[in-house]
Amino acid sequence: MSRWVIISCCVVLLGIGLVFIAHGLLIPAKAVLAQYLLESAWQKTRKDKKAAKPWPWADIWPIARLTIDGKSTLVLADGGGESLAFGPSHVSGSARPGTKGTSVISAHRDTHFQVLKRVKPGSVVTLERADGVTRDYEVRETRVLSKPKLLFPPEDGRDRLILVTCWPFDAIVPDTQKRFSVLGERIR
Amino acid sequence: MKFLSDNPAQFVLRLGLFVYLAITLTTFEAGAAPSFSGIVTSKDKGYEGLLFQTEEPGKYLPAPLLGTDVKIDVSGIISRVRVRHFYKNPTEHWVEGIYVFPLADKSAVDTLTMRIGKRIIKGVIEEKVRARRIYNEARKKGQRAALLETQRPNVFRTSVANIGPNDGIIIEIAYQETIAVKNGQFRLRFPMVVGPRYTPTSALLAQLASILSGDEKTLPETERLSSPILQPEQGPLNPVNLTVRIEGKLPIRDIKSHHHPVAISNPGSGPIDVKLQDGSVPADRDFELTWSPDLPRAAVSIFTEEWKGERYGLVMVTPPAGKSPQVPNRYREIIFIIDTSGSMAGKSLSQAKASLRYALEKLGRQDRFNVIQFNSHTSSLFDAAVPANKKNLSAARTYIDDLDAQGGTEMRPAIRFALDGQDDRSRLRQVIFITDGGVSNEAKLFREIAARLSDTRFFTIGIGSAPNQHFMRWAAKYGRGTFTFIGDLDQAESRMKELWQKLSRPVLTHLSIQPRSEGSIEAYPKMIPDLFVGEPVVFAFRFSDGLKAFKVRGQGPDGLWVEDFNLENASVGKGISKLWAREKIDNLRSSVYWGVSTDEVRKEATDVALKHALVSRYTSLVGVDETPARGTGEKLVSKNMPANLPFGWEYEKIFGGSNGNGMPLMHRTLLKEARNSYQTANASIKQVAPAAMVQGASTKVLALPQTATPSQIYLLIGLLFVFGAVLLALMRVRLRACR
Repeated sequence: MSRWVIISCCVVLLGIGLVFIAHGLLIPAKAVLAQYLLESAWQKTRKDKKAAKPWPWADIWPIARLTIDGKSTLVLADGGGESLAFGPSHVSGSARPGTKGTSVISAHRDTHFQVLKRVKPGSVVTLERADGVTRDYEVRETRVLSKPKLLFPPEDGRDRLILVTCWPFDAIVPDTQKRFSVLGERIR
Repeated sequence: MKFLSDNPAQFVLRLGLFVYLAITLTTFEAGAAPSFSGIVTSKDKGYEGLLFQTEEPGKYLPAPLLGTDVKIDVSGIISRVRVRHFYKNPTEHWVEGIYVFPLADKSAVDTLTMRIGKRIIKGVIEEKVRARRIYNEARKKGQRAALLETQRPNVFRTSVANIGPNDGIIIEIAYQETIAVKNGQFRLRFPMVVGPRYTPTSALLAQLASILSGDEKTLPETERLSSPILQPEQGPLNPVNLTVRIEGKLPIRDIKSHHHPVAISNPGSGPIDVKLQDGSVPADRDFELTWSPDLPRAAVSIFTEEWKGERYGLVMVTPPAGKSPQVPNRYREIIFIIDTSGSMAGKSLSQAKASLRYALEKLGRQDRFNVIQFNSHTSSLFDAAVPANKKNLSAARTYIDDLDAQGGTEMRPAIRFALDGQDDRSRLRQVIFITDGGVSNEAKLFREIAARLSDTRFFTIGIGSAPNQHFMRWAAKYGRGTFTFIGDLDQAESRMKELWQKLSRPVLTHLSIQPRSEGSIEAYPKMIPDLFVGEPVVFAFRFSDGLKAFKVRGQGPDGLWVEDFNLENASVGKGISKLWAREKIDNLRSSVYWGVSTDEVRKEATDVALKHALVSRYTSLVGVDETPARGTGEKLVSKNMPANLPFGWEYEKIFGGSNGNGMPLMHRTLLKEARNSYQTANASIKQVAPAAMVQGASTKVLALPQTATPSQIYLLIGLLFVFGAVLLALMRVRLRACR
C-alpha cells in the first residue's frame, strides 16, 4: 500500500473527527457565551424596564434570572426554534415566570439545566423578574415524565414553578420522550 | 442542527448526520409507536366532542355519543344553528369532562345550555376572569357547572364539572354564521363528525344478533350481518336529526344536499324545510347544502334588524363579474419573501421551499419576480424584480435549493425591501411572504406594512406545526391580501394552487361604504381585502334611524364601480346585531396596532360582548346548578322536572328511564361496548368525587420541547474518527519500523 494512501486516509479521518469535535464543543460554548451576552442585555432590561436584545439580530431576549443551587442563568422568552441553545426558555402556554399561576421553564439537560441533577425536595430556587421583584420557590417533588407532555396542576391559587429538561441526564444518545421535571411552590 | 454550514464542511457534516441519524433511528424504532385503544390525546383529530379525563395526563376517553339534533334556520345569508349532542357517562363513577367544538372562523356563539342527569344548567355571559372564578367555586362546592370559553376565535371549549354515574349529558350550543356565497350559489356546511363515532363493528353486530336471537352463545355467520339489523324499533345508532329551514320570502332554486339523502318540503313559496331522510347517515362527511336565489342579486343581498331600539344591517357585495368577463389580465410583479431564521430549520423550511418551487413553476412569461430571504440579515436573489424567463427561473431554483435556516428573525428590512421596490406601476404587485411568524414586535411590523403598502398586496403563508397565525392573519389584513396556512408538506401543493388561482384573478380594490342620505353608518370590517371575482364580501353595520340608503364603491378592472343599496327595500333578518358585534370586537382588537391601549380595547370589547351576550376573548358563558350534585334526593329532582320539560323532550327516549329501562337496544349495546373499551384502554377514567372536585381540576396540557443536545454524540463520533486516524498513523509507523 502506498504511504500516500495511508497518510491521506489519516488526514481525512482526522479532519472528520475534528469537525465533529468542533460541533460537539460548539454547543456548550454557545450556551456559555450566550449567557455572558445576555447578562448585559439583562442589566439593560432592568435599567430601561423594557426588553433588550443581547445582540442586534437576536430573536431572543431575557425575561428573568433563575438561580438554582447557587448557579444563576438568564431565562429567555419562548422564541421557539433555537432559543434553547442560548439559555433556559419560558414554555409558552404557561404563566410568565414570576407571576401568578404555574410557570414552566425548560432548558437543555447537558448545558443550563445540568444543575437540576442536584436539586432535591426542599431546595430553594430563586427567580428574579425584570422589575427587580424576586420570588423563592421551594422544591416539592421531582419526577420523571414518560412522555414530553405536562399536565398542569389544578389552579388553586398557589403559584408554582416547573423546571423541565430531558432525561436521563447522562445518556449519550438523547431520549426524545422522557422528561425530568421539578415542581416548586412559591414560599415568598 | 447545522451550525457550521460553510461549504467545505458540508460533505463531512452530511456524512456525520447520516451516521448520527442511523444510530438514533435504530435506537428508537422499538419504542416509537404507542398503541391507542380508544384513547384520544389533544393532538388527535378526534379531539372534538365530549371527552372524559383519564388518570394519565393529556389523554381522554370519548363519551359515547347517542344522538345529535341539529336545527338550522336560514334567513338570507345568515344561519342560526342550534346543536344538541346527547352523551352518556357509561361508568359507575363521578367524572369530569371537556367538550371541544370547532366552528367557522366568524361564528358568534351566544348560547350554552347543558343538561347533566336531570339538572339543567344555562350559561350566562360574564367577564372571562369572573366566569372562571364562578366555575371554579361551583366545582369546589360539588355543584354541577359548565363553562364555555374561547382562546382562539374558532375553537370553543366547554368544561363540565360533576357528571354523575350513568348520567345522560345534553350539550346545546347555538351560534350564528354568515353563509358562504360563491358565484351566486349559497353553501351551508355543518360538521357531522363530532367526536369519535362508534360505528357498528362486526363484534358489536355479532353481540346484537345473539341478543336478538335470544341465544347468547350462537354466533355463526355474524360477520356478514349488516345494516338491516339496525332497523326501526331498535332505534338507529347515533341518530342524527337535522333540519334546515330556509325562510321563504324569496324563491330559490337548485337546492341540493351533496352527501346525505334529504327530504325537501315545499320548494315553491313559503319557508322551505329540508330534513335528513331516516336511515344511516355517513358519519365521515360534513352535511353540505347548496342553493341559488331566484331573484336579482340586490334583492337578496341586504338585510336589517332592529334590536334593543338600535338598527343593524348586513349587506353582501359581489364584484361585478358579468360586466367584463374578459378582463385584460394585468401583468404582475411577484415578490417572494422567505423566512430562513433558525426557527424555520428542518421541516418548516422544506415546506417553504416546496411552496416556493410550486409558485415559480406557475409564473407566466410576462411576469416579473424576485426572491428575498431574511434571517438576521436580508438578502435577495436579484437587485430588483426580473422577467420570469428560463435563465432567471433556473437561477431562482438553485437559490432556493441552497437556502438554509439559521440565525435570528429581522423581518423589517425584508418587508421594507419588498414594499419599496416597485418601479413599474402598471403591474399588479403582489408580495408573498412565507414564514412561521416567530416575531415579537408584531405591532411595529403591522404599522410598517400598512404605511408602505400603497398598491401592493401582501399575502402571507404560514408554515410549520405551530406558526404564529395571529401575526400572519393580521399581516395579511393590513396588507389587504389573504393568509394561507400550510400545515404539512402534503398540503403545500393544493394550498398553493388555491392561492395561485386567487392571485391570478382580476380584483376590485379600495372598497368603502358611505351613507347616501342624512345619517350615519358604522360598518365592519374596516380593513377590507381586495375582492376577487365571484367572491363576495359581507359588511355588518349599525345605522342611524334616518338613514335611507348607502353606497359601496371600489376600483374595478374597468374603472370606478359604485353600487347603491336602499335600506327601505331590505329584508328582515335575525341575529345581525350579533354578527355586527362579533365584527366590531375583531376590529377593536386590531386597533391595538394603531396605538390604542390594550386596556381601552379590552374595556370596549368587553362591553360590546356583554351587551350582545357573545363568547369572546374577553367574555365566557358560565352556568352553575345551585343544588349540589351530591345529596340530591329523587323527590327534589322530580319537583324540578316540570319546568325543565321543554328542553328535555327527547331525554327518556334517548337515555331511558332512571335505570336505563326503555333505552333502545342499540344504545344499551353501544354503552356496553363503550364500557368494555374503557376497560381495555391503557388509561383508566379519572374518578372524581363531587365533593372533592378541586383535585382533578386541570385539563391543561403543555407539550414540552426537546431538551437534549447532540453535543455528546458529536464529541463521541469525532473522537472515534480521531482515534481511527491515530491508529492508522501508528500502523504506518510500525510498518516502517518493521522494514
